[in-house]
Amino acid sequence: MILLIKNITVIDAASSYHMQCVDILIRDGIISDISKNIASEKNVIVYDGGGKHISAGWFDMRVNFCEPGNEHKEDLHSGCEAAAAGGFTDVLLMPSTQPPIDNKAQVEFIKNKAQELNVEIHIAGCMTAKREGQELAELNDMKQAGAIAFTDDKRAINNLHLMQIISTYAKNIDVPIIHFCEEKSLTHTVGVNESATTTSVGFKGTPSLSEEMAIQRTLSIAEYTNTPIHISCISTSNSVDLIRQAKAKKIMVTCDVAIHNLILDDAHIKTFDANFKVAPPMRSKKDIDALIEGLKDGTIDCIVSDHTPQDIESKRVEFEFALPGIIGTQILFGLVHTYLYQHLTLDVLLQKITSNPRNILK
Amino acid sequence: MNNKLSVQHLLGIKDLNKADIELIFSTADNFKDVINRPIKKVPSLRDITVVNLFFENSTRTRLSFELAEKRLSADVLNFTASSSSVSKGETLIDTVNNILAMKVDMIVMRHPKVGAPHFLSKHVKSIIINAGDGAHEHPTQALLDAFSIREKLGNVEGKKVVIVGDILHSRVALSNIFCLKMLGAQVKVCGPLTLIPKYIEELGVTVETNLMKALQWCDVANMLRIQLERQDTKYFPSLREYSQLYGLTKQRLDSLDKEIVVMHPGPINRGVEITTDAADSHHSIILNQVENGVAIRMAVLYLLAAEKP
Repeated sequence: MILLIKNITVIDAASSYHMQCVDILIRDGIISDISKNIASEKNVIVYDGGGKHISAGWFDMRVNFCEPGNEHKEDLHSGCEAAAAGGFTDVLLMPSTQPPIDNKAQVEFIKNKAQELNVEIHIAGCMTAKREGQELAELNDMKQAGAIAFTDDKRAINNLHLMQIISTYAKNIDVPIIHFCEEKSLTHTVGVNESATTTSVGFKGTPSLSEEMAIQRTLSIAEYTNTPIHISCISTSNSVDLIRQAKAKKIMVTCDVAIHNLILDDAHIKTFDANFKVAPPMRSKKDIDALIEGLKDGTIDCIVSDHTPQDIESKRVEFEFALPGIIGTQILFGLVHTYLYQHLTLDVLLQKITSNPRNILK
Repeated sequence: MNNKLSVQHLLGIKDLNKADIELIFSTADNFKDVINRPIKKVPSLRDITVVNLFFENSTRTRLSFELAEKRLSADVLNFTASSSSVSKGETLIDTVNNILAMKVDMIVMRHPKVGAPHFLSKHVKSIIINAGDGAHEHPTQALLDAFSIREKLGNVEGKKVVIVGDILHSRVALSNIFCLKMLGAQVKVCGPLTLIPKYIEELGVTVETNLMKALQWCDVANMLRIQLERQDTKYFPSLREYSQLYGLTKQRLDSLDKEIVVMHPGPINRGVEITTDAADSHHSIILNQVENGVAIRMAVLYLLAAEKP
């Protein structure tokens, strides 16, 4: 099949065609020509791109599709439908399924299922066996089976010696690792920030200190082991500063922010509606401003959906009994484009969901 | 004066306005007369059924509500979590809807989790009175405290009130802060900094760590119970050291160059936050608070029942 797309503007900062209106010829799924004016031939399907933009496929670097184990919340098929509806061609699947993706067989199960789906599923395996934070999982075996990154998802590793070993071993077999930074002893009410707002409704919230302490030591380990580390779901102003300073020091760190932490602040907690319960919690407006600043100056590399579906039974309960999580892969782009367009130009936004995730996970 | 509350439920002081509080007070004045008559009962809530839904231990609040309901001639049901189906995994909404299906009109609920009555009010059709939700609000306690200050000192406006103790885990503190501020009092909190929320000053109160300075400043000292059962970590080394720093003694009261009013929401840990000689001194209005609690709860039940559709 030959497809000719005419009059379309390329958005790809790394490309020499960036921001140019061109014609693109695609033969059997591969781009064969890009130039100003490509003549149509016989048997070519022509599509007029008039005024629209084209970019590399979008990559959502953090999704939970709940299969196996929680298919009543989401499964690979419905998750991919959501991602596709949101314009994503690629997703990185978190391993916190039941059982967790911590071995070759689990990776192969997902790989096998993923073949028939309309979105490219990339698999993150667990860093530690059973996602228990006790000992290393068989990272190389999972890598051979197709896992492209390793993480314990939202379960932070608090054993620093183990963290050091994971970093060193990941360097050994050349795989990216993704940390979620949270100091458990400083985490009080899950899903609630500590602020004047949450104090007024009686919550003993989780201070930003919980995230920042964990980021500081993660950065120290990245520096000590001289290994790249990706920090996922940062949410506070100080976290942005810490990572900015680390990058200036040439520590190999990258990070992402979840879309809801860019849009929603902790005033929503006043409703006691557990749909607003997420981890890390919604923070203050000041934090949101700092996160946006971090996206603009390149401190924050990616925007993720942190798509975490829950069933109604997990949400229609007292706030503290509810499970954290919010969906987002199908609305991420729309949210950024609606609420943050004055801060993030289209090409900067697209870097955060195209080239940056791919560079981190390559 | 308005004779209707602006709210359908009493979830927290935050939802009330000053006129609501004044209406509750003037209604409570009448009920206080009633409960001091030889015949203490009025028929105001006849044919109204109230359930006292307690998911957390309570003796005095439950008794006070039950008595208020009975003095108003309501039919009363008591439900405590230990004897409930909650442990069998039933959701709060289901538990309450089952009770409401038996034609219950009003719910008085205490729950260990913040926001539980607010959550419930969005999902069930009933009148809800919050009898304490986690460390959030305990509105009837704050109302009876302010009512007792008004009774003792004539007015709440302009008075200086210090709340002493575990502010971090206290719903009494938070509701008192909202209520006293709304009525024009100045509020200070005093206690070990480990038990004072970092952002408390943004609620319009000041923080004092020195008990004597706080007492010297205030007209009223509200001594909170030290609730060891609510603390997941030790926030101070020992009860002994706590009472050395923050315990109210007769000696400390006598060393002030003025008379202050001493309050306590109960139950008292004698010798911890307050010594026996201070608790039983003429400064103390602790038992007046208990009496006023019944009148305030009668007023709240009466005013909310009037809103029943």
